[in-house]
Amino acid sequence: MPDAYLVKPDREFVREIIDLGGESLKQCFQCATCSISCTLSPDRHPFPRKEMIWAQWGLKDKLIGDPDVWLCHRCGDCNVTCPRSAAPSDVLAAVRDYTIRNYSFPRFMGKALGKPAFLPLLLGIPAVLILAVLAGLGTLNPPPGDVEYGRFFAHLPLQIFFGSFVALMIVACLVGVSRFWKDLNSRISRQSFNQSSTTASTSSVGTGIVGAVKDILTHTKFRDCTENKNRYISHLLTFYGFAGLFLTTIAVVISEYVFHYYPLPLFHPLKIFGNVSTLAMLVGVTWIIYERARKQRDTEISTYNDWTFIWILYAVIITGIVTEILRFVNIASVAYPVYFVHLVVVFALLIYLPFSRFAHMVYRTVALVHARYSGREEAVESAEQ
Amino acid sequence: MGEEKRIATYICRGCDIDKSLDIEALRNVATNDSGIEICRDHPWLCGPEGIETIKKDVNEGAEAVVIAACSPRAMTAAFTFDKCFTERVNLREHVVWCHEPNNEDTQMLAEDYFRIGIARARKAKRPEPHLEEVNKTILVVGGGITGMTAALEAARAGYQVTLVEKEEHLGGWLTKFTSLFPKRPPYRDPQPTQCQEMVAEVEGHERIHVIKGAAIEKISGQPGQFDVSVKVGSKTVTFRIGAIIQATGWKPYDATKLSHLCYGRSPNVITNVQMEELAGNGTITRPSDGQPAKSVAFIQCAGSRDAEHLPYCSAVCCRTSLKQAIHIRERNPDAQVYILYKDIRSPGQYEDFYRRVQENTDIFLTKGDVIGVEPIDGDRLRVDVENTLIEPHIQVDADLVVLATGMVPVAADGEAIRALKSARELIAQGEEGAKLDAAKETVVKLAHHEGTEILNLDYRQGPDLPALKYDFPDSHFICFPYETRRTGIYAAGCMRAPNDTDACREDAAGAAMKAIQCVELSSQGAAVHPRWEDRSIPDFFMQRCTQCKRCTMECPFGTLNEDAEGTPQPNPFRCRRCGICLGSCPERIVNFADYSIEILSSMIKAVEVPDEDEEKPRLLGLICENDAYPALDTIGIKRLRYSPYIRFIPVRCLGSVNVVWISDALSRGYDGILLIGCKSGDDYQCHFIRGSELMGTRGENIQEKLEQLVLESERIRVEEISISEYGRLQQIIDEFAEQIDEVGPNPFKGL
Repeated sequence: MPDAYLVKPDREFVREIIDLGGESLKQCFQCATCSISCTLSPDRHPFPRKEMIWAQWGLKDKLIGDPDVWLCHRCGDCNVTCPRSAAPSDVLAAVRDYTIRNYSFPRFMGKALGKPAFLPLLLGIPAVLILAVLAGLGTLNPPPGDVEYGRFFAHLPLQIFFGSFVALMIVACLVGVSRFWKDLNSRISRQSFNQSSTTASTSSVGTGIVGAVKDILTHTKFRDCTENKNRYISHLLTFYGFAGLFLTTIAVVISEYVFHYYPLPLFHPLKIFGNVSTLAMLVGVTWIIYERARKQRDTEISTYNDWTFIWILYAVIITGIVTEILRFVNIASVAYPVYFVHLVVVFALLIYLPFSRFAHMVYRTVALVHARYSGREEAVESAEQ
Repeated sequence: MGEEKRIATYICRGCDIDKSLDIEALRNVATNDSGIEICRDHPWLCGPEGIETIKKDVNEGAEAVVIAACSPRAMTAAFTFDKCFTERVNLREHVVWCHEPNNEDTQMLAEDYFRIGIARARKAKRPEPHLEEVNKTILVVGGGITGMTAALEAARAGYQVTLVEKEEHLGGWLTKFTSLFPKRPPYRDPQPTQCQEMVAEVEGHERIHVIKGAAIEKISGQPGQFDVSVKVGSKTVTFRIGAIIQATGWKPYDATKLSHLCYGRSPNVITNVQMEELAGNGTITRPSDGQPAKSVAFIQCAGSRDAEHLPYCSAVCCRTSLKQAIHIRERNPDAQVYILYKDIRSPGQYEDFYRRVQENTDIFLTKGDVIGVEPIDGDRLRVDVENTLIEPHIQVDADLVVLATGMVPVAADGEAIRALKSARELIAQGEEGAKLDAAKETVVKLAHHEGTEILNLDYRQGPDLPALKYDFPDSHFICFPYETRRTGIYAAGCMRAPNDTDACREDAAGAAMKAIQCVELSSQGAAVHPRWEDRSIPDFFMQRCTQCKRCTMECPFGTLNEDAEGTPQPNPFRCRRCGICLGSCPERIVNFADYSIEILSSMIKAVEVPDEDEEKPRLLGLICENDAYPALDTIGIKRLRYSPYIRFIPVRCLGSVNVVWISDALSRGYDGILLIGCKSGDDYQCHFIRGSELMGTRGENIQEKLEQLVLESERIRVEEISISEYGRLQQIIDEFAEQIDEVGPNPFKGL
């Protein structure tokens, strides 16, 4: 007999989850249709039924650090099959948002990202900072001549500026992740997959990472979803587009400083790779926006957090493309302001990562690693076989 | 043979009858063999021309008509004639549709059925209705929502109503409730009880006479002629009424038996009824210290659906708790409410109400098994719940725990009251030994019946309705709703089954309808449902009665009282005409005009039993006309086949089969007898409750009879089937025919 769990419902937590898009959560009557219809839920310790009642009862301590919340890829199968329209998928998304906010360091950043009132300030900060740096560099008014962004925001200061903020962002991520990891570990003894599952076994963090990365690269979990097949492709395009651009950026920096080979010609393979990645992202995110807008009325709720992340990402892609085109067409009066906007949204996208919906990249990866590390993933797989 | 009675016979040739049978040979059965002058055949007897022909004969003096055509279950209205006894011979469903056409055995079967019909027509008389003066006032016992609705329904239909209520005011539980759960769309908010309006309407109605503070001292007589004496204060008033609706309602299950849930151990553990009282008065407080309750836990099914307490579901507790949760949230805006349930039962549109309660973020529901409640730090309570989805074992702390207890009917068990009284008398008389021990045991077991008499009926079976399964008076909820084992007394509301107020109103309207049917049919000398077309009554030839009391004991409806010697005292309006008394009587003195020992005997003997060397066995099937007969019709409709050697004769109820018919059949040379009744047991389907069961007990006599005749016990078989089991019936018939084939011919054949 496990120890009795003294239930202390947290009504504020219930309300917050409702505000974060889980407005239907109280409709659940625990029939388990969601757990049955979910292709990712294992027979042992299934989800999301238990998460639904924890959310109804406001059991914050059970939901924060619940790895299963992150195993959900929000395909929406359960939303469609739920007889009560309780939208478990939306509720889990809200719990994830709450989790991101809960682990955010510094904490106020998480809160600020979730409130529309803070959006002008959040965009204003990078704008002012960048303007201040440019003023310091004396390039607020770039010299006349062909459009060359390096003359507006010189490369080295740009890299130092963004590099230092990215470093801060990484620190914030690491703090959040370590808090999350601690909670995940504290819950393992409670859920103890290994005791109840005969075939499951734990693996080291290293093999956990390898497995999780494999999963992420192949998008296997997304592929299993039935209701939302096209999200597999749209997310895949976005993911690889982003990864491609990330690699391109690193490669270009190496090229500039190590090989002093810069700028690259337009048809250089690296350049082509970067442009193709951009296009992939453009298609992927456009598709995501279309799908979310279509479903908003019907089966799935997209919240403020979802939309701000997606639109900032979209703004990064669009301003990036326009910036590139304007350099070729050489219209300085528009090119530099657009580039400025591009830098502001890039800042908002990257530096606010630990506090926005973008953080799912980090937390889901950690949860997938932990699932393997704890034996949960093996329990899932053995149940599937 | 002198033909005393003018009989006309008819053969319909339609519906394939003439394609299968030799009609001329069939005519010979009536004209040559039976010497009946009129035997007409017609290609389409139920058509206007055929009906006119019959009517003409009836007008010209035919006293009985025998119509060999389809099942009596078809064309019943067309083949009903005034002033004339009608016998139907089922050539279609029982012969041509289920036996090989133009076959010798099929022809013999048809001819035998025709002979059986003619035999009955010869002996049977058209029943004359038994008419007496009938009072049509309806007595309603109990002035709660059911009683008041029943009174209003009957009064609105134009009947005089007398309503007796033990309290000094009408309204019952309704007066104690704060509100009712919503009954109308959108099913969101509790609604007012509207009790005062209803009481005013009842008390102001010109046809309703209300007697409050009343106790029934005695009810004697029979439907249409019940004499009631009621004690009001120190006075006794007497009056006559026609039918009774008992709506004596419910009481909450005794929560003191729920000490494992801390009831009685902490003042902060209350029942849902107590909660209802608290909910009416401002802020809801803890009884222990009067502090506002900040958390309230409802425990559903407290003592319900529990083998050790009430095994059944009371149907309303879930919705009541949902409603009370809303009241708590309104009165104590800071309070958190927990509802711990086995299952939330919110049938039909009440699902919307359930959802509305769920929406509240301060109402927490979970399924689970509550294993105990214990007081902690002074005034608080800790509830332990297992098997929840939250965790295998959770604990919930609350200021107030509400036990959602179920309903217990306020009904008295007449037979138990009588048994208790006689056990007490035995003890008082100074009995000794085993009898004394048994009596003492009875007293202990039945002690709670003391002083629970409600109707105080002057019936042999006891002063009240029997309390049967779960202490409710039994009635089949589909076939015989509101009916009880006492004719003319109808049960409604929570004393019949746990109900919400809407279902109580429905019950009340239904019971009022039944009561009206009862007085109306009684005034016509007809039986009540299900034999409502029957105007025969049992005739007792008292000179030969041996006072064996079998009929008085076996009558399922308490029709017969006894005098001091044990002579039955018939009450024709209490009778349902099942014929169980006829079946029970060893002296064969109970008979109906159209259903008697003699009539059935002559029908059994009308069959021509072939000699042993012809190798054509003859089997007799005595089958209940309520379920087995329609099932046999279905075999025909489905065009299934069965042995052509069996002859079926319908009986009113298997309980009406007198053992003499069996010996008649055996001495006539039948090789086997199949007796088919309706299902017995807990979920019995017998229209008359005990028919098949009684046949079982009479079986001993039958076996005795077989032993006397040195015959094999396999020759008689008793079966129970339900109306839908035509496939099984076909199997039973064929298996029995095979079995008798193995046993061999009846040695009495041809004697």
